Amino acid sequence: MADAVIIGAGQAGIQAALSLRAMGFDGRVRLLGDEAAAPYQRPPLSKGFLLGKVAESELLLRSAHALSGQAIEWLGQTRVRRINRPGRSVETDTQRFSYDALIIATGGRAHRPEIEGASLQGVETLRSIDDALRIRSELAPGKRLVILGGGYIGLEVAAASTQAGCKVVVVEGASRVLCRVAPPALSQFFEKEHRARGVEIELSSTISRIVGTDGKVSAVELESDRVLPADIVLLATGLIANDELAVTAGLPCNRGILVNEWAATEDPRIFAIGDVAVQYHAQTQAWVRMESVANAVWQGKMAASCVTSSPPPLPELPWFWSDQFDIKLQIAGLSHPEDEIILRGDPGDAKFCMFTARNGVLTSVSAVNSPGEFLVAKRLVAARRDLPLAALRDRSVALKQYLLD
Amino acid sequence: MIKISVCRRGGEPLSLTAKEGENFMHLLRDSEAGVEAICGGACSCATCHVYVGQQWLEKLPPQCDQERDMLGDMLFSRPDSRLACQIHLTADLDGIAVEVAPPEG
Repeated sequence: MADAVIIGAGQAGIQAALSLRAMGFDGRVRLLGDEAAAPYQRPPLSKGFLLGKVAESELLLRSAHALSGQAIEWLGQTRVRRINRPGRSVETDTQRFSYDALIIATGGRAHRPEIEGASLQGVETLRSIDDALRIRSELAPGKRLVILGGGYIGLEVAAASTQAGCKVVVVEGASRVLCRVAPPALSQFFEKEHRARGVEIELSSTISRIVGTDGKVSAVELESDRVLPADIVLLATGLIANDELAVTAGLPCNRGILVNEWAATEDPRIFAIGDVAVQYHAQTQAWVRMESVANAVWQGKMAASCVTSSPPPLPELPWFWSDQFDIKLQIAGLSHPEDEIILRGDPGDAKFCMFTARNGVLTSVSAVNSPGEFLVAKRLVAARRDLPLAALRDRSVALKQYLLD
Repeated sequence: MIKISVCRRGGEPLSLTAKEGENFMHLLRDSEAGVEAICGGACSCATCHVYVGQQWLEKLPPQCDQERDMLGDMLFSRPDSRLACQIHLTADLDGIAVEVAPPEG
């Protein structure tokens, strides 16, 4: 009998556990999480959960009943201190778990830039339920919120807190928001929509220090010397991979645990998946750490397929979603800022698909308030074949048409 | 308790019971119905697509714009298609029989 241990009970970890069972694994499956809360979804934390529209019970990834029904042993508040590779076990302060297969799904933590005043009360980061509950309790009409970072988390919190009546300023170091994930024209759309709803956005700007009174934040100073009064400061400047256990265990890491296309590390008994994994992509010949639910799910299935010698999951295009105000954004594929843009629909009426292409081949689609076309467009991008790109602009021809051509 | 019959993708039947008010997607995802529900109810992934049978359609809550938009473009949608994440189960749905739709890919 083989036993599997999964470190990390987030989206990737729970997927690996479920997939092991779905693929016929009959040994023990232990899912070790360091948080007290049962395995939960993180995406709503910066959206509906902040507004009280999504209850804590709705965040659960699976009910306790569903986990026990699959004989998945979830252990909360169980922080692994060490991986003992020769002894094939992982150790907490008080317990030891033997493994035949080990899946590391430790995710990441919010990056905290070294800024003077960052330890003041009221300076927050957002990653866990506890973070979200703390921030939510502070949101109230008239409160002033300064957000450092105009990525997904920064903009989603800007939207939610504006809806809660707060006065929000987003400070972004780059010359546009969403610069890591969106083509420039889409960044401009989101900047315009946020500003139209009262969010102030400071681009190419950064915080020089955070000022407080009596240990509590009161303002931030920008490098331009502008001073922004603040009741809450959110640092939303990205994720640090929790790869320390792997580093200490001697596994190759570089801002994440290095894995191959099969989510395998150099130790044949150890896999790494989700936000902590830096995976080699043969097609692009690049190492990528992909922070997304879809990636966590896919790599969870991949690791389980290796452990159980089952067929691997079909390749999948990276995809993401975001909800800001009444705008639904879904992106599939990865674009380069210099890619050609093919616009289907009018950003002026906030319902469009923005395709990007390189050398005549689609590289990505960003669908705004178009969840139906997104599903078709995702297939078109994944197909990587010749398409009459200019014709995609014509909304009188259904996108489905091109699936058959 | 609300009784639900599910026909899985392979054709095998599955009987479930739900509490009043329970989200239909949560119920399917937490069972062995084979529903992934990747986006967790954000109306973004279409992996909780089910066929509900014409006779149940009018007892279901109306579709929101996003659900209608998605069903309109999905490859395997039918007139009796719904996304389970948009449905909370009520007593008048007792006995509902649904079929899990093929994955959109």
